Amino acid sequence: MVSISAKASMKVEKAYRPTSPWQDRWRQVAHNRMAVIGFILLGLLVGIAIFASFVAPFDPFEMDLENNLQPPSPAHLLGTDKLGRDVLSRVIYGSRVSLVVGFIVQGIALVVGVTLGAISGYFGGVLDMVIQRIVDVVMGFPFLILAIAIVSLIGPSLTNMMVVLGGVVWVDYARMVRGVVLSLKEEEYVVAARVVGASDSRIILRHVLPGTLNVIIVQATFGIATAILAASGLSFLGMGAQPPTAEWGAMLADAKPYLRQLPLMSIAPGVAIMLTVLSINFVGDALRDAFDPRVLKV
Amino acid sequence: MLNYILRRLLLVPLLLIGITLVVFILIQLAPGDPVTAQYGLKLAEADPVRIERLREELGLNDPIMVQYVRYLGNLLKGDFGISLTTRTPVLTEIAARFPATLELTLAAMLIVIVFSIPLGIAAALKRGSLLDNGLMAFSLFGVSMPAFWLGIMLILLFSLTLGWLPTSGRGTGPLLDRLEYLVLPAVTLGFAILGLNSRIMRSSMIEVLNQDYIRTAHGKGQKRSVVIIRHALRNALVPILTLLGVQFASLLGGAVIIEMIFAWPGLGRLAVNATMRRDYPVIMGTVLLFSFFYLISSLVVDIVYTLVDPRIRYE
Repeated sequence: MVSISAKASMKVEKAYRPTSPWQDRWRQVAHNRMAVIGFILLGLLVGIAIFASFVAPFDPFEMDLENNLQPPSPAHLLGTDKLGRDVLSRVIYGSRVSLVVGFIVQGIALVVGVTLGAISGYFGGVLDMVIQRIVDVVMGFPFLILAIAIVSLIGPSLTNMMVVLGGVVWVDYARMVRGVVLSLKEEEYVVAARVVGASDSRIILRHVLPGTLNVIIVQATFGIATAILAASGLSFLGMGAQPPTAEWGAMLADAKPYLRQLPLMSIAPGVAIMLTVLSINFVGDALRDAFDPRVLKV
Repeated sequence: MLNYILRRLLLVPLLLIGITLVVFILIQLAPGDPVTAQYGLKLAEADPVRIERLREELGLNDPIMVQYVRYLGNLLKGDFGISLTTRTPVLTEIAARFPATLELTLAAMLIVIVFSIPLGIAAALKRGSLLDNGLMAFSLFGVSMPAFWLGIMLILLFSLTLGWLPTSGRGTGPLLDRLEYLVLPAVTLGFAILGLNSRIMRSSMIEVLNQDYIRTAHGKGQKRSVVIIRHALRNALVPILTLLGVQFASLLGGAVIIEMIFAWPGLGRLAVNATMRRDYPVIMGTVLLFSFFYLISSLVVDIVYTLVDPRIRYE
């Protein structure tokens, strides 16, 4: 049995327990109404993507040519496409493609960009010059046009598109991480680590990179949203997902000829893209407020 | 500052070389060599000797650096190659399409400027009002919406349902006669930036309104409208002006998809159609041109920035 005084001291302990910076940030995010909406929406979307086979009423690839281009009905809530596939099921399965694309593109960009950015900022000199000029050149291209040109060369496919998008957007990370590393490497604790003889790789990985985490998290969140938008655009142009993949951008391209007769077929995939991007942007806004105090609230 | 501008200018040729090098490498990576592309696979298989002679004549057997230098020389002469599908010089094709893209981009820009600045000011003056909150929602949706989908939705509403505006094309005759064709593509293109810029204008205005010199202006009994327009607006416009330069380039790039939706006969449509026909010289020519504009506009922005805002110092 716990005595009264012990209970009281537990209470005191609880009240005065110091919170870690991560707990503070989490609390700040959790108190942001937009962020909560964003997290719920995003969670819902991820759930739908994971359990698509249970949520979708039909097989998204099953064709039924006798019942193609049907208007919405109780059986097919969003109607059927030109091959008689259930539009709702395809929209549901499309969440898988878009979310995976967003994460993979940013994953590639993050690994390449953070590595090169950290090297560039930490070592400086010729290495920095070379990497920064590469960054300048890549940034010198409008990224959608460059992506279209490269994809057209190596052949349109979902994988190629992801690699190309990742290979173009890493520059954002590189530039950002370099900037943070430049300021961090003069910090006393980094100098101290160097004085006690820590190796460069240890200093970068243990002392410098953790300091860039804040900006990386924020950049990655918005980056996923941008990647999803760009990928749907490329797929719309036929440069990304190929038939019969259920991808929102590609579905919009398929639906466009039937805009007049079957508007829902065009409306639904677009709403799906918008809700996905919107929820990620909500989360991103909240994360930025919590993690990156330097940014002016716009 | 002069030092900075000079350094920035010196960087331009370097970047141009970088960009042309990337494009050149991409051309080298293109499947099929120019000879088979020009004369067809059948001939290539039927007459390997003649193909070899053609390769020699076209310089395809030269070392790669020689080929690159020749490519640069050709670019300087305005020779961007020959379109594989239409057999016309790429530059001619580009020149024919460019005015349409420029027109679309400028129209989008105009819409952005005309609406975002007053909206941002109004929201800043009436913080927390219906207009302010509405603008916030509008800009959030604006950046979250795929532009091509917005275009389709606008066609659905204004062309197919209401029948007010044409679904696609550029129309013929002088600009004033085909404004109806320009409205939907331009709004679609500018939409995301319109929301964003309104927000930035709002926060910039709020920041300026909190400055001491604004309080001083009020304090000396100046009329509110004069304070807002002459003292606040002029300074609040700086971030927007510089942003617009960067956005002009991104609008040019964004025009690619919009042109496809509205069958707008511009550069973007040329590029995308070329990718479908695997017409590599045309693709690379448009990439080069877009990048060139990108480079120039970011250069202009950087320089204007240093001139407009003396607080900015570059090392």
